[in-house]
Amino acid sequence: MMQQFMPGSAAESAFETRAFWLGFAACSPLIVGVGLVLNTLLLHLFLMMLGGAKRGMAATLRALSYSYTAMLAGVVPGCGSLIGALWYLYLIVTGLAKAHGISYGKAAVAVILPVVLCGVCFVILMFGAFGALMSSGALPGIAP
Amino acid sequence: LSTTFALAWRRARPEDAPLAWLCAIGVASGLALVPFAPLLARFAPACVLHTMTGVPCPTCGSTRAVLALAALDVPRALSWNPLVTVALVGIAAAGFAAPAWVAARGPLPLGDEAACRWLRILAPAALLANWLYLVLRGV
Repeated sequence: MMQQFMPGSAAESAFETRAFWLGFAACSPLIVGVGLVLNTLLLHLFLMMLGGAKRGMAATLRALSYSYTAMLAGVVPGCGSLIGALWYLYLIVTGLAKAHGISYGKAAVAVILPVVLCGVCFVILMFGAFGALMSSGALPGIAP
Repeated sequence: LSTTFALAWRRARPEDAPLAWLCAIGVASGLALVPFAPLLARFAPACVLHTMTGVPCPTCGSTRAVLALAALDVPRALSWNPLVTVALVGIAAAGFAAPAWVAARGPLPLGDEAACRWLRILAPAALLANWLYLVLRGV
């Protein structure tokens, strides 16, 4: 199956056709449905871990659904997606804070934590690599 | 210790039905997209951590796991990313069962402090174990 994604494959040529993009547009309501459920679960999980899920998953879903309206900004060419993303962030943080009766800070942490966790993994790896280089004496000017 | 980690439960109520149906619709949407998975996978961005360091991030292999699941190859999906595979299969099963479960007034865990405590232990542990597996396997 992985060979389907190699350059010059049938999947790549289909990716460049107009029919594919029309099909993708037709599928987008389904994609939004899947994304909404997965996003709600992930967001509610992080809210629970932070002790901020005061009013159940329905409140998280409601806040997320309203925040998705920001994606309408994507119809503006160029900067629309970026503005939509920032607007979405503002709406989701405000919405979660109001819906669950928690502070804006806690809501922001719940939204940003999944992204930050990946960053933390990166920092741990960098420190690990730096430590390994130092101990091997590969860094000039730093004694092992 | 047993009281601080004891999960509290409640019976499902009629007002839980909309959320249950929405979960079922979300899962059904996901299954309807299965035939298009190979094409949609091209939208998945490359992992920055893996590109820069060669080391997988905790979610690396997710796209390949989804593609293997779409081909009903569960063992291969598990080998690409066990956590994502188990989570997706669990979500799909729970999503489909949710409306019937609510209609039957089945027990649901309360999202109380005990549940949050369990989650604070289990979620990072599962994520870390999955990441270690991915690093050792070299996904």
